[in-house]
Amino acid sequence: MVSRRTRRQLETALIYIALITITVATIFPVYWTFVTAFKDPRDAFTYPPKYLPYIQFKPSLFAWRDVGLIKDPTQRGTHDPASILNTLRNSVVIAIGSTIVSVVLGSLAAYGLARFEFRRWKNKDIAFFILSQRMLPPIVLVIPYFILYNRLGLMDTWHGMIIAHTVANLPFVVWIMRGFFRGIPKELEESARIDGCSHFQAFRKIVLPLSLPGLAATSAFTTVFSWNELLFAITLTFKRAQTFPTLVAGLTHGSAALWWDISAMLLLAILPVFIFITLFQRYIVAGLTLGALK
Amino acid sequence: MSSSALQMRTAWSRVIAWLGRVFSDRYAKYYMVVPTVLYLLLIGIFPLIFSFGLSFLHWDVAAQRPLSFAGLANYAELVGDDRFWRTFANTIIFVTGAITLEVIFGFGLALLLNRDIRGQGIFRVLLMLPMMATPVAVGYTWRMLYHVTNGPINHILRALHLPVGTWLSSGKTSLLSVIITDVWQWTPFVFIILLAGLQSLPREPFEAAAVDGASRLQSFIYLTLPMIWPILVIVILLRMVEAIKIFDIIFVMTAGGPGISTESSTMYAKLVSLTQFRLGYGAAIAYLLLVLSAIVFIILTRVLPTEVGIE
Repeated sequence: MVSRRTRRQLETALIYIALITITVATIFPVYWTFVTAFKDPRDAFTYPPKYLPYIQFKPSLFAWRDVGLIKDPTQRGTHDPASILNTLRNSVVIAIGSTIVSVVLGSLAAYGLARFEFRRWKNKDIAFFILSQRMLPPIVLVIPYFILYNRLGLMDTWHGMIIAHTVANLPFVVWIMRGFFRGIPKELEESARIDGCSHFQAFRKIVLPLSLPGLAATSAFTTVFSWNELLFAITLTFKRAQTFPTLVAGLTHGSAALWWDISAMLLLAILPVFIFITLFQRYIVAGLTLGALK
Repeated sequence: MSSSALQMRTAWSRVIAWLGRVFSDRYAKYYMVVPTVLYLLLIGIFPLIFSFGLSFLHWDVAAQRPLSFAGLANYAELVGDDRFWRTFANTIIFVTGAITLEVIFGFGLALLLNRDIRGQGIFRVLLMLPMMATPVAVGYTWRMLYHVTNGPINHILRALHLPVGTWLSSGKTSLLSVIITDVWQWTPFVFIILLAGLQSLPREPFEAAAVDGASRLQSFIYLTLPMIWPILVIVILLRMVEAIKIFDIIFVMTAGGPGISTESSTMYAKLVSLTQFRLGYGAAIAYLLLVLSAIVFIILTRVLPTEVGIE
């Protein structure tokens, strides 16, 4: 007869094994990209595959020189570093631009909906109208954008992309920030109002500073959404304003895949995402469920 | 002071007084909400109407046919378009297959691990990486993993003396492989939410049930399931809204192939309208997809708590 204590310990061990197994399964693909980015072409994509650096293969910066991010006069890169840097810059500008527009417009609207009562159209209806804009399949918008952008000269421009990404980011900001503002006690603003503050002043001086953590997390979310987005970017940009994911997505069509180079670029793509997760992990579930679950 | 200057001044003060009234604090709420609503009407709703109109037009840029009214011709063509129905089936299979597996695995793991675990924070951070990772990166990574001859998945299967898979290289397994990638990406999401949900359930009912001699299965069916149900429904609907849009990961992994075995309706609509430049027909396809997600969204609005709830 196994004692109760041993049974308990066995159960705990099993649970940890299960937890570690799913974590390894989750992390392995990311790990694989990571090691591939530090392989020589001879070590990448061979059979049997090489898993362990230093033991099975010697880590190399070949890929980083090949994409031109590490300068080396002895190795002529396959890729043009100027175009990579250009797309990285475009992605950053578009992501930050869209975040600024969405957060400024969106947090005001969220505050309006959280604190005031609208009569003709009820608050709930306005909020759901705003949210519905995020739920649309983007292809319904991409086709008319393609036509209109061509006419209006917005094709392949930063502001064109910022306008497009804001349509998805703005509803997100409104929905999430509305939840944050509701959590702030009304009394603070009321006493500020008595002291002679206007609604805008109360918002700026009392509410905004209090909701700064939420605002930061929401901004980080919209930045990552925009950074990751592909469908709008691939349709509405091609050269000057081309985004980084669009560049990477086009790398293998037609030519043989240089997996070590691609892996290096994939690491660049997920680096901001990784920083975001470590900084804001508390908010991620709330963000992805639109504040319904925390 | 001349009289005209005086008139100017009174005119000015009238303008300022008018501005003061218009921009008065009383209307502050409108100044807060109206810009966002206008933005979404102009950049969201207007293109939507434009696109609806487009779906009733023949507008084939490549064929250089003059623009003409099509009536319901595009929708009629849609009914008989086998390729469209194949992509529609692909989308539905992808959505239902992926979400079913995610719920089974995510819920199962949450039930298994619903107890005090040390170092939970670290696991949570690691598990969050897939759901936020750049889709292009996810697609390429899985293409490497699935590679039939040199990929690590087949290598591991071979090492375990299991049959190897054809994965993305065959039309028979490609859609399943795409589903597996989505399951990898989103199971942690379902798991984290349901685990948090389970841990927030009150203990008393379970203790009372145990005292009354309820079995584990009984307390699961009569207590856990009804209490966790609202969370489960929200998670499923949110996943559905996102999964119906699927484009980026498949685009990178297979570009819809082999053949059209993994082509989603979004990809087909994009091909028709932006590669073949049949804008009217592409808009009709997109609209059918819109109807599908609108149904899911309407159900979602019924269950989504307007108050930020469930902690």
